[in-house]
Parts: sequence; structure tokens; C-alpha cells
Amino acid sequence: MHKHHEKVTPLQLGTVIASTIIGVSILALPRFVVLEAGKGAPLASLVGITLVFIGLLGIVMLGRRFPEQTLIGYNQIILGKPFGSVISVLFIVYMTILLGLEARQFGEVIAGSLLTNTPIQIPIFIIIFLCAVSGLQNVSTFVYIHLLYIPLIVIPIILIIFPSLKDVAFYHLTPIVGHHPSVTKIVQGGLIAAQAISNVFIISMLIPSMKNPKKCIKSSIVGFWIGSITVFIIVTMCLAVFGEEEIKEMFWPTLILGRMVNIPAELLSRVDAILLISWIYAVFTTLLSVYFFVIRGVAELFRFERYRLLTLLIFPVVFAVALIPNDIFEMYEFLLYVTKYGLILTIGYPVFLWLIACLRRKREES
Amino acid sequence: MKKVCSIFIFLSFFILSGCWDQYELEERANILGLAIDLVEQEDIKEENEVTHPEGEFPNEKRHTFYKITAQIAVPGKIKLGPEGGSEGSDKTSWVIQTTGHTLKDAMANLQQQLAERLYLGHLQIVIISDEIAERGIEDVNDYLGRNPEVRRTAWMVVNKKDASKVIQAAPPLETVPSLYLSDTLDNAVKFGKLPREYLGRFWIDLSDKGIDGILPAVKVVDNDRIMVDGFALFRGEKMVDRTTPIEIGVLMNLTESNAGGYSTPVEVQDGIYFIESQERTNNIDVTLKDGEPTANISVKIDAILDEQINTDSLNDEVINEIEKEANKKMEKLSQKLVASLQDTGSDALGIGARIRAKHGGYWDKEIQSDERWIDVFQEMDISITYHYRIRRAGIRSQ
Repeated sequence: MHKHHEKVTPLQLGTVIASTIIGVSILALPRFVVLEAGKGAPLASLVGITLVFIGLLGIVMLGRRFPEQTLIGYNQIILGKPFGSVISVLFIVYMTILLGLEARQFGEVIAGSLLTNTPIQIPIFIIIFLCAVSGLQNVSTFVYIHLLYIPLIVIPIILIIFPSLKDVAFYHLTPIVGHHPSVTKIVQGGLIAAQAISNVFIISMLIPSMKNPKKCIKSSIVGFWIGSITVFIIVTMCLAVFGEEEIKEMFWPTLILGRMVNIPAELLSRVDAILLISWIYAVFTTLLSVYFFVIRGVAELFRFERYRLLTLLIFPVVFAVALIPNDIFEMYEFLLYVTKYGLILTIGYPVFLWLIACLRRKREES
Repeated sequence: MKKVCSIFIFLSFFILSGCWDQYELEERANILGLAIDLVEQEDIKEENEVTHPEGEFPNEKRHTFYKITAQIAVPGKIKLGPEGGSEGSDKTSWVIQTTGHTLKDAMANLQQQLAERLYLGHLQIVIISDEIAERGIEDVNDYLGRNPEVRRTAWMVVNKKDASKVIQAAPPLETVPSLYLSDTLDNAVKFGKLPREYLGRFWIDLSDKGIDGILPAVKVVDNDRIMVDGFALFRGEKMVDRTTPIEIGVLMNLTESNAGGYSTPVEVQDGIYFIESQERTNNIDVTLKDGEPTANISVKIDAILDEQINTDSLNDEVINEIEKEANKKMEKLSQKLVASLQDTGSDALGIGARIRAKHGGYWDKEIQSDERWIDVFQEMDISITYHYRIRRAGIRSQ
């Protein structure tokens, strides 16, 4: 184990969770949840949030049990070295693919709605580049970046969504279980919502760097709910304003919500620009978290702690993954497919691991 | 490591500085207003071969020819702002016309004729002729809804026959006519004379089940301004009817709850009193009775008395009388409007959407589609009650 000079406080841990949750997906998420669950989308996202919450609790409990270890460490201690390493590799591969696809989704939004003539490679390249140069080698830089951006993400989003309250039609929201209600629909919508926010488990890389790893529970719960409630509000407001039928026709309902907002007194007529800016912050912090996980994971797994070099080596891989899908439809299909099976890793696996650890009475030897 | 850093810095000069989408304001042809008409093929002198060779346009289900009239402002090239003063708006903006099989085809033709790139981000108002509205406007909606530049706060209005006339209406007050037109509508919303039914809201109503869209209908007055002339009522994507301006107020009483701006004359005893609504709250309550939907609409209006004619005996009793009379009158007008909505089969009140929300099980089992809903809507009972309260009567006591 490498030494941890930098110490993460519980507040910082909470902000990392919140800003990791609010990510690229918030623009498209309402559509995909509504496609599955219809008017039940808010309920479905609550189900999804609860699912991820269970996964997060798994991670946090593991962190309390093994205060000196990261996810890679838990794998090896609990499952034994060879099998644990295989799982760790799986995690790293999954996160690398996710990083590439999320960067691609970012590129699609930029190319599709903002800079229509810019080659899509450019925004993708720049966002990964930004993550790569902003100090993945240093835990405290990483958490301070999150701490800096979280107010710039949450506050503008809430402020922009607030004026759209006057466009809300309450008949868009009931019945809350949706039409032709069924448990499958709600669960499937919930899974989609869970897919969008499931990358919170990256905090397992941070827990060993905390001043007092045992204190991670409360702050991660608060951070988790701040992020999740923001996501929930976004889904609910999009549904309340647009209704299920109209949402199905747009790629990025949240972006269009920003376009419909009229700030009172007409100070600004196109507030969607502000929404996009804070969304770009959100994308940056989320991708940074995923990148951080990949770099730290590889470093620990192969006991190779030259972070800069690793960052540089992984960069082209991520970029290549981002360029795989041919078009926007294929990209979303691919992304949903990958994250759907990723849920096994991100939610199911931590809980499973924790149960095994309890059963086998594994604890860190101190 | 230093080398790597310097390579990165070197690269970033190329990557971070350039901007593919750089369009200076002066290089954009900002379309502020767009009028869309249908024309007959015979009226087209020659087909522009911009997107396809002549006669080889793919077969449409429904043969259409659009004529679009765009009002364009190119900042810096066409003089804007106060200059000279006496010049009307006809000299400060540029109105151009072209045709095409579809909206995109027409826009491509338009672009071919211009040096600047067309930009729809400042589009304020889209005027469609009632011919298009009657045929169905899904094609127009597709182009405008797909284009990322178009704002959903723009207005779409329906004009009788020639939509391009609205664009050409040249108000002497403002240098850019389209801005004046959209201001007319925006302010009408503020005064409570028009619901917030701009493009985005209209599209939502079109997509929603159990509610039909409405668009403001306008007409040109004296060639230099427009008047909101009622509503165009839609059934699905097709316009089915137009209302009168007074019915805008009635419809808004039933569905909207912002400031009410319409005044009504009420006759009590020998006097005629004009009352103007100031604030309204309404409630559409839907219930299922023995499997049949019914709706109760109750409207509460706070009004002020603006004018008294033929008499000068205003007192508390008379006020009570006026309130009762106003209730009766508005109930009658509303019932007439609702009856005509049921007649044409356009659920502009959104009763279906409310039933769908409140009695989801009933909708899922019995109704399911918009078409079936309209059948039910035409048969259902809708009762309306008004509750006027006159708060004050200006600064005269009698």
C-alpha cells in the first residue's frame, strides 16, 4: 500500500459523491426513464435511487470494515488473490468503456445542439484531456475540484428549473404509477435511473485516504441524497412540464426545458446557455471521478504508481472507445447495454462482497 | 515528463483556440419571422433545383408546395435601431420569399439565395396560413422541432389565407416588424388576454393524450399591425375551427389562472355596467359517475367596475345584482363555447388529460386513444359555475 499524505474530510467525500451522481446523463435521463415507466418515471427513479443507495451502503460498510483498503484491496482479501484480480480487471474495463461512452455522449450533445459544425472528436478529446491534466495523481486535488464545482453545478440547475414551475401541468404527473401500471415497468425504469447514477462506487478509492475512514457513512449518505434528489427533481420537472408523450420525442428533455424557461423580468432570454455551462461542469466532475477510478485501480492492481504515465497510456484507449459507435442511436443503445450489465458490478457486487466478508468474518488485520 | 508537458501545451494551441462554429453576428441572416403558405404547383414559375433535379422530388403522401416568407435582419448590414425616425419599418428589414416541396427544401432554396448563413435562433414568430393548419401541421412541426436553434418560446399563429401578409405588415413604431408582432403577443399574455400558448406549449398539447392544441389566430389591421382574432382550435394535427376574440377570454376563464384582462358589459335594471376581470382562479373537477365521465368547472373571478352607463345609482345592492348577472352571462357564454368545442370535437380544455390523470384505470380500460376520447367528450356532461366578485369601482363612489 502506498502512503496517504493527503487526508479527505467527510464533507469532501460527500461532495465527491454528489457531483459524481450529477453527470452527463441528466440531459437524457428523463427520456429513457419515461420510455420505460411512462408517468411512473418519478417513482421509478426513486426505485433506482434506492437500488444505488443499497449498493453505496455496501461500499461504505466495506470501507468501514477495511479502512486501509480500496475496492481492489477488498477483492483480493475477500475473494483471494487470483479471483479478486479478475474482478478488479472487470471493474477497470467496465469503467474505461463507461468513460469513453460518457465522453461520447457529451460530444453528441455538444455537436447536436450547440456547435453543429465542430467535429465531434474535438469536444470528446477536450473533455478527456481536461480530466487527464487536472491532477489525477493527487487525491486532494481531486477532491478539491469536486468541492469547487458542486455549488456551480447544483445551484444553477435548481435556479433554472425553478421558473419552469409555472409551466407545470399536474395532469402530467398522475397516476404516479403510470398507465397500465406494472411492477416490471417501474423496475425497468428504476434500473435505467440506477444505471445513470451507479458510478458512485468510485468513492471506494477514496475511503482509505480519509482522516477517519470510519466516519464515512453519514457524509456519504448526505452527499448521495443531495445528488440523487437533484436528479429526481430533474426527472420530475421534465415530466411535469412536457408530459410523457412529448418527452419521448426529444433526445435531451432537460436541455429543452432550459430553452423553455423565461426568467421573470426578461433579464436573460436564453438561459439554456447557463444550464449547459453547469452541465459541462457536471460532465467534467463525473468523468474525472471515473477516470480517477480507472487510474487508481490500474495503479494498485499492477503496483505501478506512476500516475501521469498511466493517465497518458489510458487516454488513447478511452478516446478510441468514445469513437466506436457510428451514430447517436447506436451510442445510446451501446451505453444502455453496457451500464445495464454494469449494474451487477456496481450495485450487486459490493453488497455481495460485504455479505461474504461478514460470513467469512474477514476483517483487516491491524 | 517535461517533454510530454510541452507537447500537450503545443497541442492545446491548436485544439483549444479554434472554433469551427464561429459565426460573427454580421455573418448571420437572423430570421425573425417566418410565414408559411401553401401554393399551387401552377403558380410556381420555375422549380429551384437546389436539393433535387426538377421533377424528381420523392413522392410525398400528400402533394404540397410551401411558400415561405422570411423576415431577415442582418445586423450591421440592414440598419436597425433609431435612425432618421420617419422611415417606417419597410426599409429596415428585408422580406424574402421562396418556395419548396417541404420546409427544409424551401429553406435550402432560401439559403442558396443569401450570402449569410440562415440562423433560426432569434425566430420570434411563425405564421401559418389556415390552409396549412387545416391540412395538418406535422411537417412544419417536425422541421422546427428538430432544429436545435429554434426556441420554444417563439410564437406560432394562424392567419386567414395569406400568412405572408402578416410578415409584411409594417408597424411605424418598431423598426423590425416581427419583433412588434411577437411583442403584441407577449404583452397580450401579460395583460391576461392570451394564454401562454407559445410553440413549446402547443407542441406539448399536441403530443398529450386527452388535450388538443390551440393557437392564436391573427388578422392584419390596416396593413400595419395585427389583432388577435380568436383561437384556432385543433383536433390532433389539424385545425378544425376558429373562435371569436371574446371566446379567448371565456376559454381562459375556464383553463388559465393568470390575470384576466377581458371586460364584459352587464345589464342590470336600467344600467349597463362594464366589468373587467382582474384575477381568476379556476378548478376543473372531473368525476366518474356509473362509468360515465362528467366535469364540473368552477371559476372565481375578482373584477373591477370600469364604466356605468344610463344610470348613476351604484351601491352595494346593485353590485350584488351585477355579480349575479355577470355569473349568469358568463355561464351562458361558456356553455356555448363548450358546446361548440364538443361539436367540433376539440378538447381544448384538457378534460381528457385530467380524466386520464385522475382516473387512469378508466382511461386505460375504456378510452386508450385520442379518437375514442373525442367520442366520449362529445357526449359528456360539463357543468360550469361562475362566481364573480366585484371588488371596487374606480375612484368614483357612485
